[in-house]
Amino acid sequence: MELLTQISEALQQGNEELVHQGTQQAIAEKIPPKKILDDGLIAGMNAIGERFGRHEVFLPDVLMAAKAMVKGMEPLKPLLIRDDVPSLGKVVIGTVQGDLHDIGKNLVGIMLKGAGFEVVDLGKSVSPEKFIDAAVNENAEIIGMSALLTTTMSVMKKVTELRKQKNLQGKIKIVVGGAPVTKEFATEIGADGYAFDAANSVACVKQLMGHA
Amino acid sequence: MFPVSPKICKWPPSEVLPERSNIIKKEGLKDASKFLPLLEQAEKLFVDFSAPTGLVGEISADQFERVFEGLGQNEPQAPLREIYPKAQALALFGITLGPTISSQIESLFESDDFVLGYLLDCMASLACERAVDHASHQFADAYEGLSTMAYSPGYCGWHISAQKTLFQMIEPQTIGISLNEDFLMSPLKSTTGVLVAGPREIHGVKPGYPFCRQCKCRTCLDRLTTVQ
Ligand code: B12
Ligand code: SF4
Repeated sequence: MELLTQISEALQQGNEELVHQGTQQAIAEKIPPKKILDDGLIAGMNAIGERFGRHEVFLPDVLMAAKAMVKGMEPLKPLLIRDDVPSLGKVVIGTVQGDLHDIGKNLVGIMLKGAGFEVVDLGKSVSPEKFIDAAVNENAEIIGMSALLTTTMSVMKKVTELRKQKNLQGKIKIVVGGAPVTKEFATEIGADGYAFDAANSVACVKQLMGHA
Repeated sequence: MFPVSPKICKWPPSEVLPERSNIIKKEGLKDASKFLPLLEQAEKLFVDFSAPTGLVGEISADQFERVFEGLGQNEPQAPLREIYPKAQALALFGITLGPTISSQIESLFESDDFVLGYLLDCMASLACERAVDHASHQFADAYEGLSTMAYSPGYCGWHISAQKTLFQMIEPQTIGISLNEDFLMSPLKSTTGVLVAGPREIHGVKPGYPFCRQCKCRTCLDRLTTVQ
């Protein structure tokens, strides 16, 4: 089996050690870092993401793969920085003001990183101003917001309104998610995307960025 | 509104630790052996870092009416409105696993140990439900022959803002639970509600209400099987 395919397979099995070794070997064999990333690590994450979407595997399997990806990135990251390899796009993500539940947001961040996006995690209880300012300062294309309760999800509307006030609709897209959030709510508040779970959030962000 | 005098219960973490098979089933761990070491690790962390504590206070139907109506935002057809007047006994509860388990989960995610963090989070969420079952059992013991079921603000048309009146009545602050302006409780792994004891046939909520369209959890049917 070709080395990059082996890395992708090992990643899907969540085998951290094999992924790490394989990546090191690929670097030693002078395979371009971007190719190792795209055809080894990201290919593996995409494949397991698709299997998750088809309910063939469950979230812990996907997380195991993501953990293996972190291991594979260890030797690769300095080379990607050296070569100035661009990410698929930049996403600032956070849990909305008043809300402290961050597992959902963390999972979405992990999946987006696994798919090749750069993720800036603003943490919990993030104010609308902070979302917008961070997106502008970081030059991010996407804001991702998460909420646990119907009461805290109302903050999402404030962010879409603030974006409008600042005339940033063309520049920054907004995606929302979390247990009480629905597609209808996303449309109602003027968000650009909604995803039911972490795997779908990758598809949603890719679509908004024109990578679908 | 005068707070009731609730009873504090403390359970050893091992008593509310969910069955491993429940997590395997809920999380679809097909290759359970792959996850076994992590599950064992999560169980150990759960036992070391959770402090399951509950507060249960019996109240009259009149007192409960005020808690239930809360800030007046319930759905007109909230099923609990029909259920609680038929109850023979009611008790408010607040249950928490304490703050340390949430910090532990958070630090696992921060150190990229997210598979373990995720499993511990699922374990803790299920443990909260188990603690509610324990409180429900203890309450049911005092009312032999009656069926007890827990209902919570934020579910099935009972608006989450009723947390405010519930907190005024039972004061879960005494066991370290606080409520913010958006009705979010800290620690995160906390839950509140009312235990309703009465004849079995008064219980149960089935989908079909207008507000069910927004509901993703559909726990009503599962919960029916947990009637004590
Ligand atoms: C487990 C659970 C609990 C547990 C743990 C809670 C916790 N936060 O740790 C316990 C038992 C403690 C609990 C308590 C309560 N809960 Co609860 N709980 C749930 C449940 C079943 C799952 C939540 C969860 O942890 N999911 C796992 C995580 C990983 O998923 P997630 O956060 O949703 O994230 C995923 C997606 O939403 C999405 N996503 C998330 N963020 C983002 C962001 C972006 C940008 C995108 C694209 C996608 C995305 O991807 C994530 C990964 O797949 C939900 C119902 C449900 N099925 O979702 C109710 C739910 C959240 N709870 C609810 C309620 C009401 C409560 C209580 C108020 C009940 C009470 N009176 O005690 C309390 C509040 C707790 C508090 N601290 O204030 C309601 C909230 C609705 C409302 N009315 O506001 C829900 C929605 C159930 C319902 N009625 O439909 N709860
Ligand atoms: S579907 Fe079931 S759990 Fe959901 S709101 Fe309706 S009755 Fe309640």
